[in-house]
Amino acid sequence: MCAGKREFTGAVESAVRDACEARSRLARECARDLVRDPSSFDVGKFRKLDPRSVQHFADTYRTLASEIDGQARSHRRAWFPVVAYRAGLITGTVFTVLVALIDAIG
Amino acid sequence: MTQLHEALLSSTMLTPPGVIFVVNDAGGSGKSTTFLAIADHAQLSDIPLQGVQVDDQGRLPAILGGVISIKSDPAAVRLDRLHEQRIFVPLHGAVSVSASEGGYTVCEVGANQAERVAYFLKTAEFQEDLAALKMSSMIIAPHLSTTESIRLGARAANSLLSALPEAHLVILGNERDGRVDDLHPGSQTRRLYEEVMRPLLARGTSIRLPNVPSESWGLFEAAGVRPVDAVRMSVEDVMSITGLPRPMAKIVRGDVAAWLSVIFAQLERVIDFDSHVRR
Repeated sequence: MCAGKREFTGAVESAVRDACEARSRLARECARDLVRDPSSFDVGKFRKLDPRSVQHFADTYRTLASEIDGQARSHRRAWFPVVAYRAGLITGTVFTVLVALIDAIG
Repeated sequence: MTQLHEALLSSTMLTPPGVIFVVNDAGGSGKSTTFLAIADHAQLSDIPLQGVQVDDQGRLPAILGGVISIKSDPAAVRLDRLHEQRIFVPLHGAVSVSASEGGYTVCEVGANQAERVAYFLKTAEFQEDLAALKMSSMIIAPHLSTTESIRLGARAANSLLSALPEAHLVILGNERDGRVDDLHPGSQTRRLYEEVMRPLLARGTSIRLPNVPSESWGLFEAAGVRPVDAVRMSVEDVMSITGLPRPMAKIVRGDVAAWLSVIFAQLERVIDFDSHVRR
């Protein structure tokens, strides 16, 4: 192989590697945009992805979405005792008032 | 088995010195891209290359320095019947230079010019000239997966073959609009392909021109950059000529690099870029 072709082969490898890394970053960025603020999702950016980077997009989306889902679940769990306590309190009060009223009427 | 494989391979491979005609009577079929890829590969392989373009709206001379442009002049032909013969003299000159340097002459025959070039080649007995110069010839017919491109590609290839019956024939499937193999067997385009291209394939070789993702090459082409230079450009230079941000600039350059390396591999199946011997 002559020097020109050797140098070109090196340039191709480096350019393809750079493009791969840039696409992976872009894929993660697209996934973050879609999860955090769907209105900021850029279709033009997404169209630059190739099958390999679409996989990165899907992985990042899944991770972020499950993180957000997990946060929402723990959020729901933290609020459940409070809501149950308040519901119990209201039900108890209503029941007491009703019993008092029936007692007064009766 | 290996010897048989090598013998079959060498029978379809063009070795220097040689002349290559890139033809399709339809515009936008990939002729200039094929020309540029051959020119770039020859440059990297240190093979001397003479470029000729027979086209009234040729854009190659603007991208590649030193390409000879042959344009038609109907007014001059009316006054002087031999004008049409004389206009092709530079093609003869380029072929003679390639014969002495041991390189290739590549001639892009523009849309609707194949019949005109074939007429000249026949009347000038070009096939005999090539034999005297000990040169081989090749006809490359790039085509898209469209009815028009296939029909006009086959017509142009047949025109040139009638003038150069000993030429190697290469059918180059341009995958810009998809592959012919992916078309429904009953579709009009596929039926036309079977009717006009398949018989040509029986005497030639088939190679492919892959599609470049997301139209990345168009940005460089619009800026008049050769594919090989696009690959070797720094990211900053790509950003400045395309106006893209850094990540996008890296992506388009990488796309062109991957695309060009596939085209080179395909061309290496039919053109010898390694055995350049100076005479």
